[in-house]
Amino acid sequence: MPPGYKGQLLHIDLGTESSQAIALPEEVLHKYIGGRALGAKLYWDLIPPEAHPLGPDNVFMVLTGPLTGTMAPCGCKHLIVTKSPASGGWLETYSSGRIAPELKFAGYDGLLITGKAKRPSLLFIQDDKVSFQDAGHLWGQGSFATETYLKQALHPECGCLSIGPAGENLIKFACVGSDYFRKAGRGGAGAVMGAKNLKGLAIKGSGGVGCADLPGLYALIKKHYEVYKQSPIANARHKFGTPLTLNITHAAGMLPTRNFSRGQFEAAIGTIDKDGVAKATVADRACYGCFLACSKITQVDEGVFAGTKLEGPEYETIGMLGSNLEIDYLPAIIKANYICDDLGMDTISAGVIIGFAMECYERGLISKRETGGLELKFGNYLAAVELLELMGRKQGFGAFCTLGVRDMARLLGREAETFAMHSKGMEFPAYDPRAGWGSTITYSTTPRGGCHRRAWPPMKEVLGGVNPFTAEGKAELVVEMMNENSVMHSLVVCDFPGKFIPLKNPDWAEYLGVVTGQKFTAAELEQRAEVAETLVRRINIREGFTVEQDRVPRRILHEALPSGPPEGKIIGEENFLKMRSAYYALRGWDEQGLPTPETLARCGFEQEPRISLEGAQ
Amino acid sequence: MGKRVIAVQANNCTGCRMCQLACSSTKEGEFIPERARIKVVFDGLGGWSRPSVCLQCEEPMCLSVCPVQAIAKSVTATGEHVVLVDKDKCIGCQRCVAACPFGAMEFFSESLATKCDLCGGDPQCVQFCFYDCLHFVALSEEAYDKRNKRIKALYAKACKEIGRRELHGRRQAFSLAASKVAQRPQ
Repeated sequence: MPPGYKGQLLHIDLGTESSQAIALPEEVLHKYIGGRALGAKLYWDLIPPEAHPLGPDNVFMVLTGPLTGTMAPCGCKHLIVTKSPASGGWLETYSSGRIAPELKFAGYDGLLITGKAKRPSLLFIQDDKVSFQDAGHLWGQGSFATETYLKQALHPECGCLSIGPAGENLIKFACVGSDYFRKAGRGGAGAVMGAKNLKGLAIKGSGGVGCADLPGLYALIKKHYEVYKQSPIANARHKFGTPLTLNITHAAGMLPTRNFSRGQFEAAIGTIDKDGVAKATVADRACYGCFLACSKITQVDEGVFAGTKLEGPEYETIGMLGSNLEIDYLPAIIKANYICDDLGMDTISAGVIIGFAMECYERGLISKRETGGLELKFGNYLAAVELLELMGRKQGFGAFCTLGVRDMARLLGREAETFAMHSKGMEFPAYDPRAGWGSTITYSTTPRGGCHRRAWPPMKEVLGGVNPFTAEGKAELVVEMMNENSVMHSLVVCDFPGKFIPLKNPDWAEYLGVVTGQKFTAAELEQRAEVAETLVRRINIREGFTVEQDRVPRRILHEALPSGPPEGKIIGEENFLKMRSAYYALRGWDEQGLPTPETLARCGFEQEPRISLEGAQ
Repeated sequence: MGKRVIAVQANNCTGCRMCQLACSSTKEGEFIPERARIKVVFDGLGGWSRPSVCLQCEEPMCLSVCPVQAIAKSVTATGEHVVLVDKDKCIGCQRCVAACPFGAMEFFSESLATKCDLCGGDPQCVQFCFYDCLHFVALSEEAYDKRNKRIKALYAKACKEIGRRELHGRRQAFSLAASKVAQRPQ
């Protein structure tokens, strides 16, 4: 097995409390690299179409990549792959923390969890020893208390995953926490853990991860550190963290405000933007093996939320729980973030849902009687904070909100559906596609639903000089960016070094080469991106998705934003369909978004070994 | 040039653990933080972390308790004072592990008593610390003496307080004070 890989997965059946190592054939790792692409292969082979996301047959996978645990920049991430409670199809959700390196040190490239525990349980993995413990005393408690317990019970330096009450309550946007403030937020992976009665897991490994060419790796890191030092954008990212993005999106007219009815929020500047957050920042934090340290510890010193301290808030949180709700009071956003982190909810979906509920309330589609007395007006941060508590615990009006905007809108009627900001049931992140049309392609076609992680067109449309308000060339731009991300997410490295140093496929091929000793070219990595994208597409087709789900809400296509660069510009159905068709064509998919026989043949899915829970066949 | 020591600016630590990765890969040939001679102590909820590494004491407790004189004061190729373990003499009794109040001595079944050797005068943890937390700095005679006095005072205090704390607990308790024995000269 090449260095960098462990060559095996650990399968745990919670129903029988048994575990078993499953060998990963070298040819599969060579073709799929790891992380996302390997996750697609495993999803295809292991999760049957009839499996319900919250049923025992769904597989909860925690995956790493060949660079995980090494010094390669930001190889700190893990990803969770499972069937999505939000969309019913493919879900990948990423986070940072110790879990990924500890998994490698324990001797595994990934973890497959199946079945359902008979009672609320904790799972402990220490090298090759697996044990289970009753979690009755933690059920109902937050993520923080759970992780503190896990660290005490196994090892103070262990990696752990946890869910809060939101996951226990099977909420479709329940997240999976690690290292307290790190969240695999999107798509409801926390509900999959909750459905399996798995409150938390902890891993400690005492082994190591090899490297084919250590001096080569050291030299690459030092070289790229020097490049980073010269990069103004990377240094700004280090200084301000992701809140800097707010200033960029505000200027571009892209910052979701009042449930995506505006793209600029003047009150944000100096309060909840890079400078507002910088004032509340007390320390920088870095993920494992990272030299960007974009994470900030903030604390609230006065007011009703005094004493709240956390790692964050990140841009997405400030966008969705701040400007999108017209909240310009940073302590309220920090408090809201803390509640979401502890109760185990995705801040993006939670923010979009509250924004949607506020618009419904102001339009009279929801009454004060229905909200249980909550005055759900934009800007009312006390109501927002109270509603978050109710959502996480599935109580009162909060229980209705846990349906997510798609299902809430279905119940509220056609008018509400036009401004329910989601795709495939997953709420939008904090970039309005009308201020950069490339995002209509990513939001509509990305396999897990409204998602900014497959590609981030603002990099080109706002920061890179590409015209944001045209359909021309957008499919090419998105495919290129998606393929870059596909490779990074298969190596399982953070997006930020890729975007801001920047490290591109030729650089990643070098890193892969020095760690594993395998020679890859940038073009070969590109091919692997095509295989991964096509396989994930196949998965969603098998799950019943059609071209009809590759949509964005009416508001995005037919309403104009009132201010800033996108003022008065309407995308329209025709431009949208043109971009989507061009995207399919570039991917080698037909008009209906189905991979053509030639594309499938090129990917060579038929000639490879199948992985089963009994091993490779 | 005065004597060089590892100086720690604890509040600059971001918790990236590059030091552990650099140390373990240099010493063990693979990334194995468990075997790193430098450790990073964390408080996740409190939002802080800091490295914990051998102070290279002038009057080392590990040395004085070793029954077979396997631990000795030495000088690196570049002239730094360093405390070294002689692998051939070590019998694996682990008294040194129990004696060090800062948790800087480790015991592994293959290499027996194991500690930081300053990489022979070019500590790799410092090379790969990208956040100005770890420094390898030359101290004046006066500053070096002051550092030694601080170390002595600290381990007198630590010895009283350690009780039966295991290694991690010791690091947790004394790493901040240990990081203050020598500041980076401004």
